[in-house]
Amino acid sequence: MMQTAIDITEMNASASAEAIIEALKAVYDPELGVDIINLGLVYGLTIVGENVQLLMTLTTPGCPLHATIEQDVLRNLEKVPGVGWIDVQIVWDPPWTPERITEEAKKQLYWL
Amino acid sequence: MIPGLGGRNSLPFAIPARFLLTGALAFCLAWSALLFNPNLLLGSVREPAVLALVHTLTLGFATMILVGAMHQLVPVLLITNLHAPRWGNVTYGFLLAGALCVIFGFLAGYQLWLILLGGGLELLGLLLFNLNLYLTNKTATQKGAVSHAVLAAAGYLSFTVLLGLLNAAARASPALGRLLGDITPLHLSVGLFAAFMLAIAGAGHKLLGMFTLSHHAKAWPLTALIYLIHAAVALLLLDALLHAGLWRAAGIFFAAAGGLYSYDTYALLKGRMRRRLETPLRGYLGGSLFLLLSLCLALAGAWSAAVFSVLAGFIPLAIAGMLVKVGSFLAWQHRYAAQVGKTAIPMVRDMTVVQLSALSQWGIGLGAFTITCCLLWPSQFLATLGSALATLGAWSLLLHLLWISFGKHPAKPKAPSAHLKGHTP
Repeated sequence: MMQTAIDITEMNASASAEAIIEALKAVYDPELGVDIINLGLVYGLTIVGENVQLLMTLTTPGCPLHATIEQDVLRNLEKVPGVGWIDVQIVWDPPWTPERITEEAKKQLYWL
Repeated sequence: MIPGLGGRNSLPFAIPARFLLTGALAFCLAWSALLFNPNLLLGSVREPAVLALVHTLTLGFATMILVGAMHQLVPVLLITNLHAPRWGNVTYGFLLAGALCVIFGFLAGYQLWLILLGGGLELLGLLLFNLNLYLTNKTATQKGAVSHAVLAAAGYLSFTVLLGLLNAAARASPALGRLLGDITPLHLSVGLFAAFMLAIAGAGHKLLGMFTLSHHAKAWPLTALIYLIHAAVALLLLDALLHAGLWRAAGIFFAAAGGLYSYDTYALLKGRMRRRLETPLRGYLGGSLFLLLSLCLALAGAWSAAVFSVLAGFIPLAIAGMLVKVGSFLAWQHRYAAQVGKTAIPMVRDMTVVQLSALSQWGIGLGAFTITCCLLWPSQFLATLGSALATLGAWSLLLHLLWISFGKHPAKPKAPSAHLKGHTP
């Protein structure tokens, strides 16, 4: 089954990547009703000690939900044990395409 | 902060909402007025009362909604902040006062001074809006066919009003009238196709792709459509000067642009991931059928029916479909965005009511079809039925927008995603 790749780097990580990704599954795109992990919006995750840097995108450049989603990401990551400083970077390159959606979410979205 | 996404110059909800709700109210009033006097459809389409109806639909409804939606859409397309969001309040004041003067100028039996005053106010409002867009465009971080289409459409809206103003001035001054000739067809063509169709094609390309998750449609049909429309307008202007029959070529260009619009819509739908089309989007697509109907009617020489097919069918259905989507998105941001993660909130789609969407679209669509038929085969029954259906559709649309803006929306459980495991660390 095709799955969405997230580039993960861990160095002396005090929080696990799995816990962080699980927390990000609580961040939803309010239009599509699917979380940002299964939408494939997260490109990269770097954990150095308790510092977390998240590289992500949105479904469309200039999406007005930028601030809302970023706040929700911060709020959810703050709850993860071992996470201290958080940096969320939103990028448009490479642009997001629906191919990044996980197969399960594609099935869910197909008739949504 | 990424430009276009908030900060000091972020757009207050009240600005676009005011345009959208006023536009929807004007739509209701236009069809309700026709319901009380359906015989208007049986007389000349140049009767002042019919012109009042037409200008309520164009200035009161379509222009208001397109300008309101562009306040939100243009910064997203250009990935920048709107230069001066609060100029929107002034634009709104000019457009509202202008539309009222023009409409009552016609209703009062063609009061030229009122029509000229209204046209002047409308033009000032649109010029201010265009200046705002021009200054916004200067700080754009991304440009493309969609932003080109939307910005050009905004320019053509101003040009349409200028032509209308000149048309009215020509009636007041016989010398100017002789100089200009009859520019009504030019005014009508630029308004319906260069302003409204271009705005719908541009915004639709972006929004339909976004809402159906279709990311593979090429930009060339839209780019070609834009240049065809520019060429058609240039031909019409030349024809107004030379009287060389160039309007026929312009007509072919507009028809080809309509064909490209249909092809672009088809390509977007073909590549979509969300197979089930939401009700508002089905209404948007239903509008395309009226564009096709209009082309057939124009080829058959039924000009009034062709114009009403666009005015009462294509434009309202396309606008109403996207209005529900854009309106719910705007209202969600205003009402719920700050509560994300703190309390249970509805998703954007939980704010809409499928039944109201369907009722408004069927009402508008069947009403427009019946009215078009009435112009082909005049009948009081068809006139009454058409205006009743359109009125039902219009009020359903307004009710739906009010529910989206102010209703108490249920926070339904989110689609389960805990079982979705898709990522590869």
